[in-house]
Amino acid sequence: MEDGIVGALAKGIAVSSQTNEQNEHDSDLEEVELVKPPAKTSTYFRQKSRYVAEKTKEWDEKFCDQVAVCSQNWASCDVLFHGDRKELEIQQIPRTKSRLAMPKKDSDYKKVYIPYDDVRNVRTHNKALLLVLELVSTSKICAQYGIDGLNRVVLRYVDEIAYTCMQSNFETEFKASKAKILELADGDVQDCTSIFDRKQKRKSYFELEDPTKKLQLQDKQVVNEPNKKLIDAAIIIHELISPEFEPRTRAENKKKSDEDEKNKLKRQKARKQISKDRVIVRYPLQTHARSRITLTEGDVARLAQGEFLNDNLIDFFFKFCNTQLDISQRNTMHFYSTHFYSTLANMNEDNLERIKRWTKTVPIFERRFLFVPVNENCHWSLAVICNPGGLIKPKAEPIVVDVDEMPSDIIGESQEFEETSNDKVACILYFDSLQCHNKQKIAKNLRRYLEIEFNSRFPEQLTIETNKAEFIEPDVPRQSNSCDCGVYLLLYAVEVIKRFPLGVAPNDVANNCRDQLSPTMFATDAVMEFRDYIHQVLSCLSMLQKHRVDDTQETLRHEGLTLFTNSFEV
Amino acid sequence: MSDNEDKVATGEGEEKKQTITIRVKDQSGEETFFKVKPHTKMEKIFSAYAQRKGVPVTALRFLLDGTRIAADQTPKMLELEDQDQIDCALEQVGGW
Repeated sequence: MEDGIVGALAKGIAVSSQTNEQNEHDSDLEEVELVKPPAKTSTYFRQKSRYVAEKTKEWDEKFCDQVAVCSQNWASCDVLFHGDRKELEIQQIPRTKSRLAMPKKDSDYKKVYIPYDDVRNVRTHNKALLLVLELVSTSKICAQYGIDGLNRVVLRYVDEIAYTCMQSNFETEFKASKAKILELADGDVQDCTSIFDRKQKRKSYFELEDPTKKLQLQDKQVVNEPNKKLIDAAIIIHELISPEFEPRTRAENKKKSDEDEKNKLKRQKARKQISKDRVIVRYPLQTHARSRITLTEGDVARLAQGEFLNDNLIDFFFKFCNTQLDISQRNTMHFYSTHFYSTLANMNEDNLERIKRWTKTVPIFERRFLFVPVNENCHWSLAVICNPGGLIKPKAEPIVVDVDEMPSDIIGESQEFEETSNDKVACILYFDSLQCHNKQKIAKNLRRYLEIEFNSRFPEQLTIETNKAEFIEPDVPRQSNSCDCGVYLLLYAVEVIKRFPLGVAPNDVANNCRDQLSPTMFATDAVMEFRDYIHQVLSCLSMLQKHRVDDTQETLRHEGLTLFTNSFEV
Repeated sequence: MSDNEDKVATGEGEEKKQTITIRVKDQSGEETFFKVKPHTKMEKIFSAYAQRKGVPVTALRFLLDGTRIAADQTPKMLELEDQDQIDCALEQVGGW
């Protein structure tokens, strides 16, 4: 008798608290009037009622970690059985953190009563610790919370014991009702829990932690679903830190549902961006290295077939290629950045000064090969300046060099050119897998560049004859699709390094490099393999960087990723 | 004792006050100025610049004398001085 009164009283409170939220339960209100509910429902009352409930143990109060009511996410809830009224109560529990963050009103706590008769089936899944209550479509609850036609209540447990307890509770409670206890198909688990994944973000609403921290943490793990959640969390946190953030009540939330839709799209976009921005590797791995290239997931994704390569990948590969060469070999070539040519192409006074600084430290006229990647109109091509030192000729009048006044490197260079210019001939090899770039313009720009460089480096006694540099377009494999030109560029560069170990000789220029370069020098399959190869190299380097291991030749050889094998030890 | 303390104090003070202005120049020649401390990561400049331009940071490349600047470097590491210029280029993509 006493128990009944307490129960009714508590229910009265509950119902009156509901009236704050929605005035739809008219029938319930009538009942309430009979019981004479307390004049107002304060937090005090609410807490007290809960307290009473626990004390008297009238209901089986069970904590459930995650509850979804139709299409709404209620997070942690209490699930209570009212055997006497044949009703199931689900009551949202305030999270400790959220309580600190914003004082909640009584109406913010949701509560729902589900009559046993509304439950069609109870489905259980022992592995995922899921209990799914399938409701009849005529249920009031569906009308209230089921926006997109979901008429079910999902209970998810973290603790197995709690789960089995609740499962047995359901079995005993629903024995008399028409609801059946069934197994949940494995395929439906994902569908049922997807709502919680959305919820996971909500949970992080109030954990105002540094979002970057989370991402770093996520970096260390293999990419899987929880990580995605972390990214989501990071985005939400990021948004909420913005100054215009104000604590919202549930009621306001409803009004903002339209806005939320828009935000959702925005978030999805941002999420994509964040996952794209995840740093895979910084190359060179050494932190003190100059000119480190940051490769992100977005860049790595470009290695998939059919994707366009970007400047990051090209620059990375040239750098990698350079380190794979022997020291002696390395000093005979220079790889320009992909941005070099574009800066050179729109030359003005200002860029001219800039360009000069780019190769300040590189004695380019001593090099056998200067690799200049060209990017124009979404297409990559490659120009290789061979033996630029061969262009330098002494002027007609006798050379008087004041050795004391000359910087040492210039002496070195001028000596070098005297030695080499006789057997090496300067030329520009040009590789365009689609033959769609303007060759004349490229040749003109490169010649002009050499002139500028020469003028800033050499004494007046010398002269450069850039027109002597023959522009050669060898017959090479061409691209048959519309996405691989970046890969072709890299392959051309590798082939040039492989096939001209001693540089380009005069007779090579004479016969258009036919001996070394041919349209069949690599097969079309090589292109796909090469994408794979770069991908492997990147993942290997990423691992090395994570474990702080140096990317020495030995480590790479061990992984089978060295670029040049014995063929190159000439 | 007091001398030592003074030295330390002034040393730190100088370090703190020392901010440099870095010019970021884009391809069209437009310059943006950033005041930074020598130990601020370049990342900050990058994201601020990208935000101003309304593009994702990953679509921008920052070059100092033709070499890439990594986000975790600082002006001190790069030996940047007051009024030094950084070039900003857009991502280059190519396929066909």
